Amino acid sequence: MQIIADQIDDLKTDRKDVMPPLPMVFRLVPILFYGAIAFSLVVGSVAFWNVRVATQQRDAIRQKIESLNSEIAQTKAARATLENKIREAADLENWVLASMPLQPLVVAIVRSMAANSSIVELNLERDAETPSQLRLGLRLNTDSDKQLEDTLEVIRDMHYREFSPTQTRVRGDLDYKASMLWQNPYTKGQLPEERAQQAVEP
Amino acid sequence: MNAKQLGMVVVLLGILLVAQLGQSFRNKARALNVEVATAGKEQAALATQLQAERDVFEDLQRQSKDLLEFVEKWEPFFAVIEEQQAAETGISMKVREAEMLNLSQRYQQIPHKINNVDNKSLPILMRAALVFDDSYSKLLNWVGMMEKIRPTMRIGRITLSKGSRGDDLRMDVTLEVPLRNAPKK
Repeated sequence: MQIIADQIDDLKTDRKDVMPPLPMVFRLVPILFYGAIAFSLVVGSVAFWNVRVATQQRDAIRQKIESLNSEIAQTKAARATLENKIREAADLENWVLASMPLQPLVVAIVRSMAANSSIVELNLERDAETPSQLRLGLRLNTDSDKQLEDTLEVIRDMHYREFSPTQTRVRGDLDYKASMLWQNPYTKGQLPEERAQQAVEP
Repeated sequence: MNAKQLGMVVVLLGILLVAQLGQSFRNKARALNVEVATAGKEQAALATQLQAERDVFEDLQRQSKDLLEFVEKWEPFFAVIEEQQAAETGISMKVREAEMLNLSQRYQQIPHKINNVDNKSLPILMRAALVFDDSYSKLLNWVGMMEKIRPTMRIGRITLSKGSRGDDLRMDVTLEVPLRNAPKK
């Protein structure tokens, strides 16, 4: 059933507002409120998106940094291993270069003797601190100095260079002492098989 | 202050709060961006460091190539410390096989030092001091054979003088065999 409004009195008297209306400027407040919510939503979303992207970037970079650090550590470890290997190799090379065979030298010295000369004593001693240096002690029974010259020539042919020589005559024997430095003739280092072939028939 | 005014103040506070929240998001994003930039710089520095390390390593590899190749060929001829007894026995066997008059043989292990500093790669020297009295050819052939079969062995000292019989020679010889640390597996 339809009730017609203007025919029914609700029996209420008109009342004035309890409180005075707010100033007009306060009408901006709801606009500001909705504007602020919209603005915050936009700014917040953009910021949230930025935070997400930046977090992903940061995590990716951190991961990359970890991987770089690990690669650096690996490279350093490989370098340390190689340096140790090189140090050891240098020690072995020094030994090899300073352990030249002496048999060919001894044979050459003995062969250099002429018919009228003989070796009373031959001494070759490797210098403990500088093993590529030898101390030669040679006592010859000879009547001329030419024999010594010939022997020294042979020694030089074997790539030894003598220095600090002393020469004396002891009871008719010629006593010669010198230090000798081996001059490695192998530019790329001697191989084991090459060294093995150095031994000569006495 | 009436209820409407109070309501307005509350709404304004709400707006302020929402704006503050947005601002804090922005600040967080800005701080993160700064962090990303710093991390990016760190990454760039590390990449440079890695490249430098690699360059040094490759240089070292290039420079040591010849040395390592050379030593690789010699390595099998170096006895390891564990073979100390075998090295000693090897020499004494060769002395016996030579059938030369052997007056004495003495073996000792000494620390290998150069300029009073321990050699870490070849820490021990097995030194054999031998005295023979025999013919020149036998003695020198034996020395040549020893240097041939043990190319890393070196003669520390050799003295030849007149022997006890006719043309025989007396040979005092010191042989030194370096013993290296066992290679790391």
